[in-house]
Amino acid sequence: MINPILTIIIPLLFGFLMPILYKILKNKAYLLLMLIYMFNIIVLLFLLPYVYDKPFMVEIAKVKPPFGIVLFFSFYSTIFSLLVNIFAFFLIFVKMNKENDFDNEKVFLTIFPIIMAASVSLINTMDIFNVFVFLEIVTISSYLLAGLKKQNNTDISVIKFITGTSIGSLLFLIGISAIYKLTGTLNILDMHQIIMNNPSFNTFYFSIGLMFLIAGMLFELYLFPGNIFVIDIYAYSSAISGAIFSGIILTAVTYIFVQIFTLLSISHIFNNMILIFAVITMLSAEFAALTSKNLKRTLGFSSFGQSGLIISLFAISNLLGNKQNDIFNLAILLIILHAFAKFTLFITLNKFINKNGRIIKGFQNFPLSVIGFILSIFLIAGIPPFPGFFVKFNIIIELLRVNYLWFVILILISAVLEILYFFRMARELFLVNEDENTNECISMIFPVSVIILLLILITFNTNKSITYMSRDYKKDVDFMKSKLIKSNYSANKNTLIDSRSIKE
Amino acid sequence: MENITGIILYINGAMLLAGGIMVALFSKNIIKMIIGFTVAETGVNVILITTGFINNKVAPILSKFQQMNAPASVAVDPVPQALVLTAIVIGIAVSALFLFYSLRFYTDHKTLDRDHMEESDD
Repeated sequence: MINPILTIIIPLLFGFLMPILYKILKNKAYLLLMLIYMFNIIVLLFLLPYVYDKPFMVEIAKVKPPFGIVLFFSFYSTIFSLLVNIFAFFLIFVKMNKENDFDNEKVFLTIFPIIMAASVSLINTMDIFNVFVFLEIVTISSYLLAGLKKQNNTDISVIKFITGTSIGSLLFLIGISAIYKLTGTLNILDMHQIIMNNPSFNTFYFSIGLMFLIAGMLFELYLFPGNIFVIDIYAYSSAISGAIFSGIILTAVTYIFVQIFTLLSISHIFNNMILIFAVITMLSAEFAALTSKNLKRTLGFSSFGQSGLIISLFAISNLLGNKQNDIFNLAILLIILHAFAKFTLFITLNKFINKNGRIIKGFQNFPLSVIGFILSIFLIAGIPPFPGFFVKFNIIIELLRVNYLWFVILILISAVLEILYFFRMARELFLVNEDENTNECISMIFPVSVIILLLILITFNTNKSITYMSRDYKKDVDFMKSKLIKSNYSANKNTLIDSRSIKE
Repeated sequence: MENITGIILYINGAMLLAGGIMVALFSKNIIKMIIGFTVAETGVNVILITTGFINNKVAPILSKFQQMNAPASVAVDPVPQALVLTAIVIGIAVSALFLFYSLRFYTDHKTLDRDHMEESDD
């Protein structure tokens, strides 16, 4: 089996070599990137049957965990890695039509593989400082990406974006230092083990560290109040950037947040705190999406709303105390569906809108893209018989089973708001009749056709998909924890914790 | 006595962090915002380095150990120092981009007021 770490190393290497390669290859550089992502997809597809049974561990520099940095390709993380690589492949295919989505294509070709490599690392890493580093690589690349298509207010929106995410990373770093001080480790699984194995563990100080960590993540995940700084990025940058933010980055960050949150959140206070922030995000973002006229902004708000819903579900799953319950699995499925829908919406939207985010072309010009757009709307809005409906329906059933009626009502309110603004968008696409003679280009036909086919395939196999994705997450965690070396280390570390507690 | 240095450093770091974030959030001028973030970042680095600080211990440099023929327990924790190095590099990258966008914004609008937004129909 090919080592899956290559799916990170190769894009990263070519990302840094791209300024030189672009000079030699010119537009053939797109082809090179497509080959790289094709390779990644094949490697991850071959890895999937293996990780279905147990996670695949990659030790960096052959140093055993928890001393060394380790990547775990678990079933879920491989699915997410596969998903972002498929998106990357489609995105490069769409970009190949040489339309000027960005002012500087060379910079895009340099930062895109870096974003992708960092996102895949983020999904698979189990080291908390590694999470911080990859999060920063993704964020710094996003600053460049957001400013690549210069429009009105692009610069000031990027400045706001930097402000929000910088606060997030500062808080995250303090969280890391506090938790490291108490546990003496940077490995998330080791931290989890220490918390579970030490009843006398100093939970108050640990909670303060975790609070900083979670506060930082709120900014990085674009949850309230972090999303206030981010929304202008969606409105004033290219729709392609929107596809990368919502389809790739948000998916990777949500997944790693879920890992950290599920493994380290020991107190109900935190789960309730996260639940409150996520619910505020969900409702405020959906209302804001309804009032916005700029389509990119609307989709941005919609992403925040969905992100709020997903995080609320994980918080409820944690509150129930049973991490492998159906709500957890359904929320994972919802992340995938959301990424799928938002990615398609943004790449197709790029064709219809003007610089103010208003629809200027419609069905007459791009019939296939409009069909892809509408199907994605059906998917995310939860219209039967699309999988979004069945996933949300199952979530509601599960929530009613555990007496979360108030949250079911909130989900229904947000679903109604979603349907309202999505149908407004769909209606506009059929009403606009531009005289300009524009035809569907080949670069859009392939990805949109494949996405439509995939959607139809998933729709006819919704139950099978839900069953396939249902998984005992705790088993994977136990397997990963068994890979941590114990010997004298655990005993020494306990002494270390004790001595530190005494000192404090 | 042993803890006092650590406590002073923590307070120092926390003050730098709080002051820096206040300036970054409440200042209208973009350059002041950047300065605020740089100060806040220094505060976080001080907190981070204090995490590994232990009084009366030496720096964890191999040549020193060899000279002293001492076990690793006489050194301070090297991990936070490595983390701070990474954090400093990341901080520089963020500040550089922040300055780049400020310059581009100033070139177009001849102002550094962060509330300056052009009219748009949304």
